[in-house]
Amino acid sequence: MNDTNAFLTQTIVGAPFSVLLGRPLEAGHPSAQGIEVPLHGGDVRLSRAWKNWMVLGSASDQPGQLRRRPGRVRRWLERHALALALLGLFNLMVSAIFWGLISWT
Amino acid sequence: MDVKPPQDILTIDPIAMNVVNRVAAGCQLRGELSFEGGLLVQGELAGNIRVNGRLIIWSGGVVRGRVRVSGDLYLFGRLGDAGGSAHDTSLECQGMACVSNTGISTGTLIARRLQLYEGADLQGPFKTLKQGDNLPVLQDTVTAPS
Repeated sequence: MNDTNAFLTQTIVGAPFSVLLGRPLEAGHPSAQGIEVPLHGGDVRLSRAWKNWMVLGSASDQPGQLRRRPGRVRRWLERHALALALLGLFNLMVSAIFWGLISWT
Repeated sequence: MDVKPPQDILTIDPIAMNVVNRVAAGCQLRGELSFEGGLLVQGELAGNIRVNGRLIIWSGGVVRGRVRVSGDLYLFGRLGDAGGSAHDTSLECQGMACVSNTGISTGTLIARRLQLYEGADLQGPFKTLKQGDNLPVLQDTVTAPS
């Protein structure tokens, strides 16, 4: 897709967005899942439950791939990531100033 | 303790998914329609429809008639008429049919794989599309005699 088509697609169809599908109706997976080793071929891959837990980025996902909605804690952390980062920097600065003053006196 | 499974989300990236066509809310298209690339339906679509890509029927969108989709189907709206029979509408999907918690289908749904979500309303039949069903003789393209 060239730049003009990409621009028109984004203008007419819209920018990327995420939509909630709901809870999947499927047979429950066992809670303990690990590395899947298919009998055909020798490739090894993480099962879905572990992938959702361990692989934080979804940039390498195939387009149109369904994925699990992140949990409540992770959503809260993502929403407040900037504030948490600023708080960390602030704490670091306060700590540096404090120990600087201590060593100065 | 009964633990509910986590919910699924789908990121719709029109450029990455090649969804280059859109029928906006309030629009009505009818007849012999062919779409090159994916299609997002927010309005109403009816007739003999062919989509060479993914089909996304958005919440409020309606699709009726004979539909062939070469990619995946994501159903958030309605497939078929409300109270209509399964013969009035049929959709053949070469990929996965994904019926979300707001999706309603009264037509016949044929797909390789089906993913249903809690609250999805599948009123019509579902048939699995097998590998052998994708024979060239079933394709609509007719080669001209030499």
